[in-house]
Amino acid sequence: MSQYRLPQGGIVNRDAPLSFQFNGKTLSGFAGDTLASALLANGQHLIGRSFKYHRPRGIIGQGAEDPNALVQLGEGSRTIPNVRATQTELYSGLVANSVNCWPSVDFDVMAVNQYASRLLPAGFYYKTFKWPAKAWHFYEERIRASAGLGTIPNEPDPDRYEHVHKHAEVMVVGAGAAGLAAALAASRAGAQILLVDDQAELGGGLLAEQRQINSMSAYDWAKSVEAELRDNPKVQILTRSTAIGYYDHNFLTVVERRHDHLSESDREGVRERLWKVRAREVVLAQGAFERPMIYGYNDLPGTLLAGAVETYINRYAVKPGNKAVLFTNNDNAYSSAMAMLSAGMEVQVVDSRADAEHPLIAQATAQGADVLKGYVVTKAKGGKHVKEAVIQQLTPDGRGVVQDKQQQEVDLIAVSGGWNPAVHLHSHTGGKNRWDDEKLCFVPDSSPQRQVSVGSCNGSFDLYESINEGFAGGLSAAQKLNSTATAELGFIPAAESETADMRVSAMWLVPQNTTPERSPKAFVDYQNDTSAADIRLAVREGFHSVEHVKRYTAMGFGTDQGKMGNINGMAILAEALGQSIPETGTTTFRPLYTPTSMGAMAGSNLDDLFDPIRKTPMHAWHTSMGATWEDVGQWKRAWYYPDASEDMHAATKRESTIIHSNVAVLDASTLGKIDIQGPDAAEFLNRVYINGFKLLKPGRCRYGIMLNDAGFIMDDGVTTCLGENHYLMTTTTGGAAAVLNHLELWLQTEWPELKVYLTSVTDHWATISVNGPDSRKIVESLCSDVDFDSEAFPFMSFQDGTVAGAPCRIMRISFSGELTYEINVPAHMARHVWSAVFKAGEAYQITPYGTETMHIVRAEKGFIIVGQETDGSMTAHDVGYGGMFSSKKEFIGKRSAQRVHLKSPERKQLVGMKPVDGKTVAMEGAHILTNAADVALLTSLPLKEPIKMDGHITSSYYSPVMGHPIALAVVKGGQQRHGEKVMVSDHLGNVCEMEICATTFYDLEGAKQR
Amino acid sequence: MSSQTQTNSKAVFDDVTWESPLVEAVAAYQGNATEEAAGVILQELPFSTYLNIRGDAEDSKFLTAVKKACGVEVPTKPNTYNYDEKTGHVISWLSPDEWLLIAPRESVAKLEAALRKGFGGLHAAVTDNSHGYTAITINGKNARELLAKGTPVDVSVEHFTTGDCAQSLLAKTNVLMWAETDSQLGVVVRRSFADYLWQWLIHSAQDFGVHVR
Repeated sequence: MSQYRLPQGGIVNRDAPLSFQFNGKTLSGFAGDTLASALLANGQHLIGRSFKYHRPRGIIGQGAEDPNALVQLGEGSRTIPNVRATQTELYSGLVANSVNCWPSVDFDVMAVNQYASRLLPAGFYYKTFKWPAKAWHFYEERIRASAGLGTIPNEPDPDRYEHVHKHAEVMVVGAGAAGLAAALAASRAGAQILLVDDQAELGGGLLAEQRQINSMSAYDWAKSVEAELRDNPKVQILTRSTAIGYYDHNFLTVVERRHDHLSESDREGVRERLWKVRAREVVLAQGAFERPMIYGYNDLPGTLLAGAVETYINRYAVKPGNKAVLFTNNDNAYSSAMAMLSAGMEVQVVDSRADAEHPLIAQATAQGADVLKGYVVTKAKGGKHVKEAVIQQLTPDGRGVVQDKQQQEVDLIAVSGGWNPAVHLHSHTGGKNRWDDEKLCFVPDSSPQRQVSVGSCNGSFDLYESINEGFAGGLSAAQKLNSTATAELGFIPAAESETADMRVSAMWLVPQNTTPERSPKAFVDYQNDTSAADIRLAVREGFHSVEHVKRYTAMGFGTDQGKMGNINGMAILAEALGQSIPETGTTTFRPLYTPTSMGAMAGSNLDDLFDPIRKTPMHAWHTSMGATWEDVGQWKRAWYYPDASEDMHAATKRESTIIHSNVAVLDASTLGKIDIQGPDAAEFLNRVYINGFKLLKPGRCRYGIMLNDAGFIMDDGVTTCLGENHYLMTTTTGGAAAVLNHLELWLQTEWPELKVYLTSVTDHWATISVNGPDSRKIVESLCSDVDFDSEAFPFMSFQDGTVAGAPCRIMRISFSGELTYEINVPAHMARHVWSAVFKAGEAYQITPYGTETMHIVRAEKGFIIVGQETDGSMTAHDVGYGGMFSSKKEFIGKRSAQRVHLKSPERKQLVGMKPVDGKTVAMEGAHILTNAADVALLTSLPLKEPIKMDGHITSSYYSPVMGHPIALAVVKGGQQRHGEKVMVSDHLGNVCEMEICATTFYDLEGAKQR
Repeated sequence: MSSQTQTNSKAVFDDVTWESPLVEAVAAYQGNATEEAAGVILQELPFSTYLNIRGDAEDSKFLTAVKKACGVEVPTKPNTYNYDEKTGHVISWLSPDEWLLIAPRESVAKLEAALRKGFGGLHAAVTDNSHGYTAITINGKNARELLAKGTPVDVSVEHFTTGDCAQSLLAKTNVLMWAETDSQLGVVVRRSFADYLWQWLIHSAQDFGVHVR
């Protein structure tokens, strides 16, 4: 038994000793300990080193507010940096190490920084590493190497995570006195409840409370409430679960840590679960955080918040020292004094208030505390632990201290600067806070959410007041859902109150005999080494907004986000600015409340589940053929099918050659397909396409171009008239969802009078596109009920027929320029028909081809791809399709497209290009120089001014059938520049000379596809 | 129509082989638990008829026409479905003017024709989407917990009961969910997303014990 573990008391399980390692040393604690309480029980206060000056840092708090007690937890792939020891449950075999120190926490080389601290004020890096500007890259590397605390694992996270949605009528955040009372009320009133608490055990502050509630110990009362809640099937309780974010419409996120408290060998299933909670009503009962006192060297290990001391004694049976000074500005801290006395410690109370009076003070004095009123601790002395407290009397006005000093030998300084309600969640969704002049803290004010704050997070710090307020809050939440609901608490907490009316006086920065700048450093943000002097320096240098001061001094930037010291810092800022604290305000409280693992954010959205992979019915066939893949939207499309020895160039050469000579097949199932029905369907099509559709006869197909309302090309595709008032529109693969949304938007908001229904049938039809001179022979051999004669079945028409036994819709449309039969087959039968096509094509060397070859052969024909030749700024005129514009009707984008500059012949226009040397394949994206002579400038980088460009290459391939490279490009005034030679340069500096030509390279008359 | 015996995800009808979008996935993995021990039992219901119906819910002629053609009342209460045990026909509410009729595979042509005929001159539409979807039943004591991992819809027993359906995201894909009993639920998913959703269901059900029927 260590000398710091009390022989009795606490709620740790003394029958379950646990051994763990800290910095290689084997120590022991009990089940129910946190790592912090176990370290303190072993007399280990020194935990790590601070961020900037590498000053020694010890445990100071008991929970999320502690900026100091950060450790590197675990080893290997499961190591976690900067874990708060105060929130880490002890488990057998736990391994923890100090952060930000080398070679050890006791002897840290970088600690030399603290002796140079006068040279390292706020803004040091900004000021020092400014000159010369070029050298920043050099500085940055070194500054970054010395920054940071713990280290991240260098292996993938081996654990699993998941997300869960949850709906609750009443969500209660926090299971301390107020939260338990709120849940109890809502439960008795019949509501369905989610209660979350970040600790292993419900009770919050009650786990360390010595007073009685309803004639039983506070702990027993908490257990009795928990038992009643657990008995109610409408109550769900999540422990070890932190509400990290509060968003609009009462949406909250909660991280449940499911097995971090277990030895690694006992961990099973998902490590963390991110709950996405939608609650009708929310009751916030998060509690409050104690403030520190800001005096010289207030960061020395052995300095703890008074409430934390009380918790370590009462809950964990650990005394953090033997001889203490308790430095306070409020009555509340006297209960800590009594806890220390009952643990057998000597206690000197230093109360900044000359007129302090409260029954608790009398009680503490009676129990043996020596109380100095009107005194302050001005400085702590010690190396790696406090050894002495320097105590001075305040001057009568309270603004200075008298010269006389008392030196008190201590091994603990307990501090209490008052309490801050945890208004974080309340503030996340835009809830306002109000400064309370009596309680000296920000308390929640109005909230845009259906939410109420109760207990100490509402500034109601008295235990019994908290219970009353919690119960009332829980009941009112339930009554908002059911106005007749009632609930009785069954006892009157207020009658037992002996602790009401506790007072606090301002003591934001302890006065010194010297100015703050010449005094020993008084830390406000312990993790980032921000001192009171740094805040005053920021003001002198012109930073007045609290948000600017935060960023200049790094106050509140740590993993604790300033939960402990920030309000002191803002008060010091207010004083330096000569304004009030509410005028100064707080920095913004944003999610996340506490640091959260990346794993919890990711959940199961990893690897193949990261984003949906859409598959066509032929996907497995493509895989078996060794296809490479191209991602098009969420679809996987076969890109090309290399033989063992082929690269992409060889494979596409083979694939594109056989299209022209024999037959090749493309899986075109991914194209968007929209079924359009209704008496106004033709009128509707007329309004969304630039060309006319009213005269399209049943059985016929027509290519259309769709503009957005700005007049630019949005999508293109073939629409087929299936019958009277019945059409099938196809869209680009990537544009399918956007086009349907666009059409529905116009139909529902602008043209509700049109009788048209749209239904996506993209997934119903699979499309087997059979291309090439032999395509007819193959399809004909599989289909006996269609007349394939080109008179009966001409280009741009369709026939219903039976292919290999399956009812299909065969379309004579072509994106390859070759004779093409697109077999549309109901998707469950697609593999059957696909196989039949390949079997029938064996004699013709039938070959599958992918999207790369599709791109080559359509470019040979000058067919555009929306999104490749167009980029949202191209008009139909620009791509040479101006002739399709119908003058006889109105359509989306017509007026915009007629603006003078959108018809200007100087705009970038689509052209064909071919290399003058007949060999060079230009890079897609390469630029076309306005002045060929500017090529010379490319060798004298850096350029003095940008080289003038006339456009860029949009598509570029080697065309096997042409025997030379081909390209499509957009060039200023290009349609009038055919035959002109231009210089083309890519971002790697490659230059080639190309000739502008027509967009169609192959089969100029279009005879083959007909 | 002559139909042959159907294996679950691959079958031959009228000499044409049909394959569901889960034909590979269902064959590849049967779960980590027996049917008795599993918290979640997954089964694909392939090859149903899916007819999308559009029309005016306030026009009694439309409502009567649908009822007459398929024997089921059109649900006008949002997010509910009507089921006819005799025919196995289900109509789910999708939007104020849109419904999904699910029926046995064989009845597609008859139903589509009957609906078209019944609509006559009405502004109403029927679209065959039978091959665009598949259905997955999600049964077992953890079925609702599994759905809750992926959908923002409240799928608790109190709020999603027999006769309820809902369209929302499940994982990252749109589905139509339905509730049959406390422990029998299901989803209709678009064909191209089915494999993704199946993999997600299998992955997310591991800790419950999952069995593929």
